[in-house]
Amino acid sequence: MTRHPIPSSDIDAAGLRALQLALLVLGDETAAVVALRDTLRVMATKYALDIKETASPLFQRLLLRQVRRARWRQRLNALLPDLLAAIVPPRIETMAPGTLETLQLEHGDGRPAWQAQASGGRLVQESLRLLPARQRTAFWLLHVESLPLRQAAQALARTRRGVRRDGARAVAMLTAILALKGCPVAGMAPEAVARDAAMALKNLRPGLASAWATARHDPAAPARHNAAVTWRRLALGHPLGTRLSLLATLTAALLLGLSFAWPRADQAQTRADVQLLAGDVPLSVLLDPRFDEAAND
Amino acid sequence: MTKVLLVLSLCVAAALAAAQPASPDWGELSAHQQRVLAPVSGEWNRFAPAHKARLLAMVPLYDQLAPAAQQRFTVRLKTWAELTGEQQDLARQHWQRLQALPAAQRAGVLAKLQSAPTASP
Repeated sequence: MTRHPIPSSDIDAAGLRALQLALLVLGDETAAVVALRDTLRVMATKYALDIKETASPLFQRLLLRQVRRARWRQRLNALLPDLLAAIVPPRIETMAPGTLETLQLEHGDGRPAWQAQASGGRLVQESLRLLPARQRTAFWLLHVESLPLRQAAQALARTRRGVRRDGARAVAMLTAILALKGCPVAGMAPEAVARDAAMALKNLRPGLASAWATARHDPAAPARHNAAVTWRRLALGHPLGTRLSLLATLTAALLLGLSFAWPRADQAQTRADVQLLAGDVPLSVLLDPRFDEAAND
Repeated sequence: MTKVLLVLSLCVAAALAAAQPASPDWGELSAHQQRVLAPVSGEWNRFAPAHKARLLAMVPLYDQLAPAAQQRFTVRLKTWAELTGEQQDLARQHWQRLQALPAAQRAGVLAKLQSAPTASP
């Protein structure tokens, strides 16, 4: 089977989508660029994957993992300020409306459709931020990346049923928010709403071009294939790979702990005890309180 | 995340449960083990797992003893199993001291201690 070269524009489109997802979760462009750059580096050095493979579900899986780690780092960094804020609350609490409340779409004749407006893209983006992480990623992979259900489930290491359910919930929530904002989505099929939302998000991507250029700058050369890379890719590619690896590690730890905790009688002491019990010296002599006195004489 | 934590907790709990030493009941011992350890059959099920392991480790060594030594072992086993850890340690120390003594001195110590009865086991 011949492999056709992947056009650079496809790689850029995949990279921009990845950056948009990272930005959606992390809410910070610098952190999103770092997460994407880390993904490309890990992809090349640990899994021997080229940048051309940014469209594969494996890339999605690595990206989600790096984004999750970046999110944890953000939470850790915010831990101390949050604790301080909880101990010493601000004197004046600002009740400024959020971005979602202030976003306004232009309606009426002659106005572009909501999904063609810049504020439409931001509305979808802010709505997705409100969703639980599972629903958001399910929506993203199914409707923005347009992955088949099987590949989306593989990328998320979840069941197809669960991914389908979360994707449907995300679309339902999105439909409700869009309807509240006056978008003509009532009565539309969920697939059509999801398609329009994905289109609205696409309009925001040109603004991320320079950030993507920074993220893909000087990608590491892919590592050579070896046994370790093969095993890593196998674990990454299989939906249960990570869980099975975790299970294997836990089992190994369990067996190791078991080998330490198992009551192993000291062989030398047991041998000495048997000789003591089978010897010609009665126990009454060995336990006699006058033993020391007799032995010292 | 909650499910992952739940699975991890279950695994840790299972590991802790499995890490507890095995404690075979009397009925689970082989016929040979039961024959060698017969003097402690009545108390076996209330012994601590580590104590059971020590006694079970004696069985293969028992097989290597001469018949007379096996008989002495059988007679003393019940008393030995009922001693506290401190008493067993004391007996081991005294036995090692006796082994280190010259034969004549050893015989003298044994004669002196066996000449008068004591309250000890």
